[in-house]
Amino acid sequence: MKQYILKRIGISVLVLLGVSMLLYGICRMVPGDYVANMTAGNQNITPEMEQRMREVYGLDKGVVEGYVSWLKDALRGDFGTSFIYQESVVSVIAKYIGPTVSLAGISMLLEILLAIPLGIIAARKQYSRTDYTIVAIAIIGISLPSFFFAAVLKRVFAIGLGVLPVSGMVTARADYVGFAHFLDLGKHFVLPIIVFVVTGVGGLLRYVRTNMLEVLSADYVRTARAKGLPERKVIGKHAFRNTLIPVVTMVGGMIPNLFSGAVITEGLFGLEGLGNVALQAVYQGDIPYLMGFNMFIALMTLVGTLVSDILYAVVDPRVRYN
Amino acid sequence: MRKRLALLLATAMVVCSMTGCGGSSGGAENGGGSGSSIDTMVLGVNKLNGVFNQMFSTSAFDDQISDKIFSNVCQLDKDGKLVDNAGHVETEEIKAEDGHEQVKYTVSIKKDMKFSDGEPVTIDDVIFYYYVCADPTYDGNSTLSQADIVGMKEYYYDTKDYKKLVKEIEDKYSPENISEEDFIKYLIDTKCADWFDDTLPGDVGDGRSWAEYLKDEGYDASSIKKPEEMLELLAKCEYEKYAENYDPLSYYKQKVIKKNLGKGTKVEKIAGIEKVDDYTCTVLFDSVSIKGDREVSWIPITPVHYYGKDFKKGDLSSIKALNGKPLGSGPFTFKKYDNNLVSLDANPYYFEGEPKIAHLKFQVVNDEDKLDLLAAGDVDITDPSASLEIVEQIKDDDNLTDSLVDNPGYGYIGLSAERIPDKNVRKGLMHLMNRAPAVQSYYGELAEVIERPMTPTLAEYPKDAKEYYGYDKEKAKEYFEKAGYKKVDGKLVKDGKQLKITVGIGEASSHPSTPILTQMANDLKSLGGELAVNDLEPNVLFNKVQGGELDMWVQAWGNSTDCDLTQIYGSKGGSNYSKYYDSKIDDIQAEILKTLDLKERSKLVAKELDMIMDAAICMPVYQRKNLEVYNAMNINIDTLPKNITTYTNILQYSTDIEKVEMN
Amino acid sequence: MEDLQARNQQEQDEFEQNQVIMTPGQLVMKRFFRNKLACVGIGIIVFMVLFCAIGPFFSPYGEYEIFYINNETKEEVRMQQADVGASYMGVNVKAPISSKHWLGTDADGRDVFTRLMYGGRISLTVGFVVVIIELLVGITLGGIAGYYGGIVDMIIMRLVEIFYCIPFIPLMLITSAIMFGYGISPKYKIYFIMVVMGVLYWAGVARIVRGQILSLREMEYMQAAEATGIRTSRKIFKHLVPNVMPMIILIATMDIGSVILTESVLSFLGVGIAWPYASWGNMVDAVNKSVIMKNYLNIWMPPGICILLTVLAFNFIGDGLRDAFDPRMKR
Repeated sequence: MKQYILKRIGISVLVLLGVSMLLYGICRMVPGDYVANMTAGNQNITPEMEQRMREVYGLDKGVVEGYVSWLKDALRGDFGTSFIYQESVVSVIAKYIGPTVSLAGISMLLEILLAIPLGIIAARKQYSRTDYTIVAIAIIGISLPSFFFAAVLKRVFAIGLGVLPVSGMVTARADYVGFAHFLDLGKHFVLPIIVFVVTGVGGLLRYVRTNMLEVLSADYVRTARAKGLPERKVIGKHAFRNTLIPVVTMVGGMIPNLFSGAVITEGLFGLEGLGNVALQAVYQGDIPYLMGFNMFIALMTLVGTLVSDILYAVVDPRVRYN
Repeated sequence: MRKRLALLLATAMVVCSMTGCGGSSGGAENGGGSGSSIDTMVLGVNKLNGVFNQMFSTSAFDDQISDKIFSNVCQLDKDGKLVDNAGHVETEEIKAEDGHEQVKYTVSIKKDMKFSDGEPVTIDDVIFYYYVCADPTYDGNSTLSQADIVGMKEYYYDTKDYKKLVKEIEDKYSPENISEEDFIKYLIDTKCADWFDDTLPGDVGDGRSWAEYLKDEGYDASSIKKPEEMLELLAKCEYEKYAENYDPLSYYKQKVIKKNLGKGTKVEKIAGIEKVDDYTCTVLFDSVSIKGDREVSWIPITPVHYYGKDFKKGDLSSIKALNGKPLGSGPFTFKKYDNNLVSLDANPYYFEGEPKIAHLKFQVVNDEDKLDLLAAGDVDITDPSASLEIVEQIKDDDNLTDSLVDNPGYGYIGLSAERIPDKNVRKGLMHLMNRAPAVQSYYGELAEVIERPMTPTLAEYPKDAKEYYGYDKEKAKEYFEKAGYKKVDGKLVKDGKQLKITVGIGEASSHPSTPILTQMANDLKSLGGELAVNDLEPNVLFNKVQGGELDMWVQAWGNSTDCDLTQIYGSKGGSNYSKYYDSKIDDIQAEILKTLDLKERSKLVAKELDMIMDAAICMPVYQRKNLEVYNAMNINIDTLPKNITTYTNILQYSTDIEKVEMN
Repeated sequence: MEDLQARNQQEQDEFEQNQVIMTPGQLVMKRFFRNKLACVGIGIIVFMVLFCAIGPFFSPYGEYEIFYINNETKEEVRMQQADVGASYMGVNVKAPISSKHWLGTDADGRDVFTRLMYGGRISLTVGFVVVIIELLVGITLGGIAGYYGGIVDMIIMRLVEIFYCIPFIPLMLITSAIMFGYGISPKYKIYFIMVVMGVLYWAGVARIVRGQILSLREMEYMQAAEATGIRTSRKIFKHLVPNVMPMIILIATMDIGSVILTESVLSFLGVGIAWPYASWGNMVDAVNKSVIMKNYLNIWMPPGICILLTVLAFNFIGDGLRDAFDPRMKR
């Protein structure tokens, strides 16, 4: 096991290197070099000034040269200064990670709490009205473009009924502190979380249902039933535990989603999270930020797969790595 | 001089492109304030970058906040004229020793002003601003380093004898003198001005490979296998045939300057900037410029004791480190920026008196949400994009009042003289633009079709100008025929090539000029040509326009506040995207810059604009209005400034903000 | 006695004749059509395909034809007419539902109903084409990795991991810019976007196919096949691929839906299909203009409903197929 993990980490480093090369190439190809964007529309900028600014931002170097210097700095832990924010990339990420992680974390928790019981109920009553209803609602959720759903929610709850804030993270006029501030934040997070959960729960729910169906038709469940165990025990003790195995691995694979941020939901609800910042960075060609952030996500993706593989072994003792 | 207007446009376009990527606001039921009087005013602003220092700001929306924290030496009045604010500027024309005319500006500031930390304001805080913006490593938006201030070049290039240095460089590298070696070295170093893409077969830009291009130019590249060799041959070809298209001089200039800077500071002071006493300084310009007074006085007073502690020539990092923690002498002081909310407190030391509002907050909001937030009472002042429906909605809501002011910019459709060299073709295209219905149905009364490429908010704009190219398919056809195009097999061709025009537009799905292009594409098709419309992301569009990759483009200028058009239409203009070079236009522009009399200047400007129209390189489309909306539920409307105009308003210029009261 | 035997024989024959023998395929179909949601899904897809494929032929208007309105007489004028340059003309934007425009006109003065049909063509095409590409690449590479294992597997799987780590949105933004750089006409832009999406999405398919083949390879029937000494290609195509097929069909139906959704998100970010062409994605984008959202339901609701129904239908079908394919599912 230990050896397996070490080997996987070694491979991950290679993959990261490959990803960083590709990413840098892509970043340099991003439409809109930062200097051009900054000076666009300004009638008084001379070509000379532009040239000088390119030098200041290191945009005059070739792709290969630029990559090598980026890599050298990155290995020393220096991911550079964000062009837009004029601050170090790490501190920009640290600054905006809060809302993103709490939003994604709460939503993920709710998704799991909803998907597992509902999926099990649907599976137990396959082809019944309950099953159809649960599946239909779950699938409607994942069949909606998130921006569409968010816009409708905003229209109904924030503008129409006025019960929830339209957007933003805190009530501007009030200077809440402590618990009141926390509640205020919570109120602003309700709609975004609904969007997340409704558009996200379907996938997990369906997965739970399928796995449960499979488990329910397995021989050991039949045996358990045959020996006269009460249904509650059959489900709770035998079926449920075995359903958990694939679910756990799927959840492990969701780790990077915690950090990658949701460009659209964050944007529509005016939350200052990583997704929103990343989109700005793409549009404006903020290469240091894009590199730093995307490498972070790549790392998280690799960690996610590794964790889910290890979890698999933990919950399923039959799995052995060699 | 501050570039915020121009920046505003650039940023606004980017923001518009992602409706939904900014935004925020507050609790719906919290609006009215619960009984007691409110001491907090909330302004709704667009997405911020958090650089609250106008010297380095990357967004005009950040500047809206900086403007409340810093006070300017001089300010614009409602007509866009320069008036005193925290200081005063005096202009004096003098003769230099050799007899040419110089201008001396005497900048003075009020006495007994204090920064919000209690430190006194002195003229050093103004001079500090000049030095930062003139720094060779300065990367912000100020163009002060380009101003013709005595000693500026010496400081910037860091050599006592700048003229000698430039002469040396010019003697060696100017197009007439440069050696073949240097020229080729330049071409190779810059990859033929960033043209060569280091790949084989590669792409010239029109689908041909490098080898094919060279073959067409008469060079044999068939045996070349390596990109480096191809570049060498390309450089040879370009040097021999197209040398006039390249600019090795600027390249070598930059190189020499950089080399000089590496050797330690030699010039510590800008000779033309002199401190007279603690509250006065003079700035000497080497030539007359209608912009000079703004360059030196429409600037924020920046405390040297706070920002300048570790400032050395060539290193601005210590100043930039304070970008997120501004300190100035403006009406408000910075408290914090988090959760998409900027909090400011009243500055008790403000020279016009402490503001009536104790707290000022800026909430980042989506443009699309602005009106809803106002109606809910979450935001007190904001600026939704003006459209017919929005204005209707404001009328229906008793609590809301608005002010419509002209936007100091205009939308236009540009044509490239480089890519469409035939003036007749350009004129034909101009005649296919049906502007009025498009603008009218998009904006209604909120915009007007304009006839000359300059913002009508400027005093110099010829108000009585007539339409130059009316929508007329027949005339367009005539022009195309004049240019040598004939209809063969239903196609409009010349020398076997069909007339095909590539046009770029950003955000076509909600752009006032979209119907113009739709109609144009249809008409051109019926004439036998083709209009390929590219809907591009606004940033990409900027790049393509700058890179000269489009025949036509739909854009807007966020105009600066003067009538100087050298950057856009001058031969040496950095924003001359049409690449139309006409020495007559250059001459008249130079004359305009030296004409201080408004009437005379207006005449010259009208003449210049006619010349530009005749060149058929720019079709002005519309000039729209900006909207600022106030919520009377919370604000005491009577205390707002009386004259809200393009240049005097709350959000952008914090005009008289200290007098505004809440209910 | 003989009589009895004969009778028995006859009964036997009759029984065999009457016995309905079902192929596995028929069994799957039977199970599939028992699922009501899946049947609804099939119905919706058939309707949408007909609506989009045939519908435009019956529309009197073009996909991106704009309509003018004579502000004095309130008469509608088509763009081909001569007097559209007159001063009394305006563009007939946001027109209400009428007999001329069944769903009104949009913010640019184009017929919403006509665009809805054309837009559906694009959205459905994008869905199908992207899935075909991802399957082609994914099955080939996943199959190779799973079958051969070893170093080949190692390389392909690392490639899969790298592709997993590439951020999707920046790549699409860049693609759209590069296409312009190469002078690709806006008309064909969407095809390139499809290719890029397909190429980006293959990693998931490859991973699943590889996993399936890995486990199938260990099955006894494969060892038996091995023992008979048949050709590799026969082993792959006769014995492995058919067993992976259900999985592939399942991925395909599910992914079509998600690709249609992705296309709408790309349109929202401004990198979807090029103007002036329509797709459901760029039509529903209008929901973000607060004025349109509040006052002009006819502009954004229809494409929204179309996307919802279509994606829903594909998901229902996918669910139905999964349940139907799994032989352990009884009933």
